[in-house]
Amino acid sequence: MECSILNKHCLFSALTLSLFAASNLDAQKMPDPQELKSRYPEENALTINHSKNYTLELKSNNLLLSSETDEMSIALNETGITYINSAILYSNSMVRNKIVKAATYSINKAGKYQEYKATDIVERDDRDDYIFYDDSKATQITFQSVSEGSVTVYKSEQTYTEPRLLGSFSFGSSIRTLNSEITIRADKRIQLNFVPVNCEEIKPEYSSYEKGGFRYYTWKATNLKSFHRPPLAPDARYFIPHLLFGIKGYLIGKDTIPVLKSFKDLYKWYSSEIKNVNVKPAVVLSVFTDSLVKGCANELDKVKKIFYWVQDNIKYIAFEDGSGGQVPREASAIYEKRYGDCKDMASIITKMLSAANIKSYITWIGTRSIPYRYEEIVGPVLNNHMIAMYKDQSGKMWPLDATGKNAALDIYTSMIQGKQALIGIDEKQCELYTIPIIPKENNLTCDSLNLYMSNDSLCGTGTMLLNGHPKIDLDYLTAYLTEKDLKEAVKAEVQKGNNSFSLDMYELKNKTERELPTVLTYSCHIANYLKSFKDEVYINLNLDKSELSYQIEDSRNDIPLEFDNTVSLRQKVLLRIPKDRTLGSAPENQSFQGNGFGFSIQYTANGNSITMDKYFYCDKLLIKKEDFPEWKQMISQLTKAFNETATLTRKKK
Amino acid sequence: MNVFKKLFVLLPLFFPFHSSSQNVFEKYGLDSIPKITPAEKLDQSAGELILSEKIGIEYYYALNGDFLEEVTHYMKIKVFTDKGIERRNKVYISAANVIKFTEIKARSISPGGKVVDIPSSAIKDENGSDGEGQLKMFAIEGLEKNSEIEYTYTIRRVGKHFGTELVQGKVPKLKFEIEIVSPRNIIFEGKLYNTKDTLTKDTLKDGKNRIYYHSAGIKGLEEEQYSYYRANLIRIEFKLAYNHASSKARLLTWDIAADRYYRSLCVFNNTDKADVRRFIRNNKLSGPNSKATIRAIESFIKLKIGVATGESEDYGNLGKIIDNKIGNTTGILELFLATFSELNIKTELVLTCSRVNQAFDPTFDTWNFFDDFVIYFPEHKTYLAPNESLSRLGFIPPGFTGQKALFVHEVDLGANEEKSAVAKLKTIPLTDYQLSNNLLEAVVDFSADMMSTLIQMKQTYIGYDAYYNQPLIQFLNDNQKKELGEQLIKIVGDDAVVSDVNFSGIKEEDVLVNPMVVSGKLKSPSMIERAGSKYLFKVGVLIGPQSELYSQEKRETPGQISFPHSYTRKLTIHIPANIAPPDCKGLDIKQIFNYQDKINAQFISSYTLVGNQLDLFITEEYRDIDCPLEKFDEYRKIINAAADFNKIVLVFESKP
Repeated sequence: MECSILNKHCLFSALTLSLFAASNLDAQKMPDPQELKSRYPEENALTINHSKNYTLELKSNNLLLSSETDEMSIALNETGITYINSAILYSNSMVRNKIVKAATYSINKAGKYQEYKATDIVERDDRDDYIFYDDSKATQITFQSVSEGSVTVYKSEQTYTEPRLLGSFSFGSSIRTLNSEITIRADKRIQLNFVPVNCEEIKPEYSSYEKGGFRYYTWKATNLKSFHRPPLAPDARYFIPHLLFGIKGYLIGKDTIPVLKSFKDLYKWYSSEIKNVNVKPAVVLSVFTDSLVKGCANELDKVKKIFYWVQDNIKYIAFEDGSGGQVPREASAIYEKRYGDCKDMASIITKMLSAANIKSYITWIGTRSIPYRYEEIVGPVLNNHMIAMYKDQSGKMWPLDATGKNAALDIYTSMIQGKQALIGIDEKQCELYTIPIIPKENNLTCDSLNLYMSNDSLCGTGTMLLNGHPKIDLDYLTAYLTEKDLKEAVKAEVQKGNNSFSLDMYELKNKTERELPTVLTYSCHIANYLKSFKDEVYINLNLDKSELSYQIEDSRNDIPLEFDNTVSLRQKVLLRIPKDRTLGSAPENQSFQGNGFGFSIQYTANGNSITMDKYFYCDKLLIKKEDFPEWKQMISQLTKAFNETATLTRKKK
Repeated sequence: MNVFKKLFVLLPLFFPFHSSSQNVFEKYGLDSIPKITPAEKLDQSAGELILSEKIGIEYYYALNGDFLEEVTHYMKIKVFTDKGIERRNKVYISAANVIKFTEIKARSISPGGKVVDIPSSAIKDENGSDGEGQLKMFAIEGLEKNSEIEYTYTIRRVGKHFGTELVQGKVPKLKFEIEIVSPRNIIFEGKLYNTKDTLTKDTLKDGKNRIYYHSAGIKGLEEEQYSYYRANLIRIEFKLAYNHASSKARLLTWDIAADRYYRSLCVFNNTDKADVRRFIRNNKLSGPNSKATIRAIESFIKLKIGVATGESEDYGNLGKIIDNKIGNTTGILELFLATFSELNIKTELVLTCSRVNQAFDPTFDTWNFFDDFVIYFPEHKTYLAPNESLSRLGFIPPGFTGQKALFVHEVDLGANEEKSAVAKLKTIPLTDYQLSNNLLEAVVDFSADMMSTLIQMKQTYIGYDAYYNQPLIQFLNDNQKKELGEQLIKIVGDDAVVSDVNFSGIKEEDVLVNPMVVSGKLKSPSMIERAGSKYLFKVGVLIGPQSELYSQEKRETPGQISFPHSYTRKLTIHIPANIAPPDCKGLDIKQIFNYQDKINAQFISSYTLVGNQLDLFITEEYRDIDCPLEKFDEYRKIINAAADFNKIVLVFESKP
């Protein structure tokens, strides 16, 4: 549901462009493929140069921004051709990309590079998965005559309608980059802020000098390895080396005019964009709101009523063309249309709350895909989402993100947890607030299964209670699947043992009750799970070992493991011991407690049953490099615990 | 297939009677009075229900003589759930090749009867990303549960001589109509597939011809394992069959197709021939008429000539393709054909489609079946797919095999006559199940503390079992190769640690010729469990996770798989010396499905236990691709036999 309220490609384009590296093109400085091949035998293609030059001018107290991008890549072998034979550049109403040169240089019979200009350059609309319609364009360059040893280059120029979009530059990409360089040529009166991110290893070289009324800031990095995103990894911005930058302000005489020095400056900009929204009365919506909250006992109940109504009735459809990319629409229009994007949902929620005489605020936020904080940098790179914020009479903040469906008031969407929110209090006032991470206890899943043996199968009934996000996820499935598909989805949710697991019956309760746990009762049988041998039956009561999929491989290269939400999972399996059998051996109890994650598995037995009680938890959203040793230890211990089997022996007559 | 532009030049011009469009399908406009159907008693299981879908296609002559068609599409859908609303609240209409879009009329009707019209200003145009072409798109406003969506639009485009429409989908339809109307001299013919229903033919009052299908209910079809969804949907194919104004002869027959494709793609002028000779000479592609030469040419073109999606004319020009190393699919096909022709390697162009989408019906001569090109080498009795980067000689995309096809058979009428071609409808044969095999060899030892199994594993893939990986591995860097290797080896569980991954048979010259082999070592803690003093060895896990068909739910469609294939597993287990010989009786499994007096599929496992060495030999074969619906339960047993084997556990106890 993530959507952008500013420029959806403002950072993305920087990262994407970097996939198609380049540099100051000079036919005299063409690379030697043989030399590169022998130096990098393991690589198929290289980015030889990737550079971007910004010019930031100050004319008549107005900031003007433009930039140039140069990219040069080489195919070291036939495989490398596919890495370099095309490039895509993105534009929208705020950033326009113009290609000024695109060509292939291939070695001819005389052993010299020959130029082939790219003639197939096509611009198309570029639709994002979550955006129904916007004004983004993708320009595809198809290079011709690309063969082993070929070099492709392109140079493009960007014009910006909004200089404050200046934001980021990625040094690395998905292929090895030999030279990466960014220069900002700024009027010397302009003050800039730079933040290198994930650059500890590559240590970019920084230099700065003044010339002709401009100050030049240059950051250079060389020989960057390729970056790949392993499973369960966070957004690339968490690990790809890149530089963030922003305009703090500029000098007019002796006065400093702030631009984006603090979050308040950013708010000033945002505030000016929404000043005309929801100014007019929305009579029909007000009447509707009155009827909706009628009978509510208190303010919080009214908030819930309105928030839940928007969740249920305003479907997510995003139009982000023109100003629709930044500015929410009128609440009354959203009410009539019954659809909107995140901004529109924030707009209608605040307007409806206002109609109910409850104060709430439009709030800008970056989803978890954006790892930055206002303490590091101020700029639109921080935000790609909008929500409403309600502050109750005790001062407690309630983030209202109606792009998440079926969610109770205190179960915020996963993507905003732990993120700084910029709350627009009034036209001039704003404040920052960090959305709490929902603690693991609120995301508790309890699954309790009572089993008995029937011939060679295990049969039983279970009850699963789901709270917080696990509840939301299951409720979402129930609302969106056909009956047949729903049974498959429920089966996948409760499946245990092996793929012989058969879900016989199930019932879901409270699926439309946001504030109550969803209760899933089921009956099942599992063939081929018990193992009988002579007078013994073996049964591993750890019927669900899905935690083992969270292994950290060495090839992960320190890239964190990301979870959507905190987790607490309790699984209890009780096995009734048949009358003719007795418990031969029971596994030992096991537990592990790490920093923010752990498990325990406990067995208890009485005369006619044995119970396994497992509790697994993780109270973190990111498992970082420093957590890896403990995490691996936990998985290893869990593996051992999962390999313990109970034995039932036949009673002697 | 980007060949039609070229082919249409060759189509005969029609001499029109006066026949402008008479708005036959005005009847497919919005209901004059918006009305709502009560939700009670309606099938709500899909979350939505198509109350009515009507497609009207009228062919006519424009005043300038152009042969055009106007397609009117009417939909009325009731949405019951959030899912239904969210599936239907965005409407995309393809505007590709459209000459004129008449006004789109769309509205929602709430259960209370409130009508919200979609203004024309809300309809957006998009130059589609992802190759979708031009689109019209709009969102339906005012929807709530039990609302209805109603829209209609008419597009005008150049009259297509062949058409297809899907009648069925996942959502049931209460009413479905399709009508195809043509001028009195023009006869369209059509055929319905995957239903016993048939089309009706008649003549309208004004003499126009009509074929139509009206149905009072089309049930929804869900996807099922082991069958191709689209190919099983009810659909209509139709084609222009006669133009009585010019001749009584049937139009656009198989033979005409063969001749047109032959002249368009298989005959080269002197410039093309000279370019291709240069191509052969410069790239040293010359060779004897052998499979090796054909393979070398295929590798060269597939690896060195890029495939363009753009519109540039250069992409279809042989000389430019050779110089620029990039061409479109038709251009690349021609490059193949011209190269083989210059080297006197005999070819036949073959036109077909994938059975994943539809079965090629030799009894109905629509050119809509010509989705894909294949090249047949009659002297070598083998096939090449020129536009499929994964495919190599002898292993064309599996969906093209076991499928009828039109073979463009060259006819030489004598020295003074121009060559031409006739159609031969033949089946592209399936490959033998033994040619596509995955051999798994594993040698298993146990750690001294019995906490882990140590496995030396080797996977060998040939034929279609190598098809999806072997051609690609050469494009992977070392890291990606390692990841893929681990994925192919690590079949015994997520916790296994893989080391020493090695590939062989992954060079271009090996692709679909020599086996692709990946080997490595595995240490798996989870294959051995502890039960008091005993150990449970999960021997079945060695064959990796298996598909299962345990569910006994009633099927709607017959079974079909991609290609005949087989698995062979040779497993050697070194049981520790202190462990008594285990009870292995469960390892003998024999499950055979015979159909029409032949083995269709089978799973057989057997073992020998000599001393402390347990050797297992397993064969699993799927010799045919089809299984009729009524026999599917027997087929299911073969699939499940492998899934059952996967769960076999041996109990290890210490020797007394």
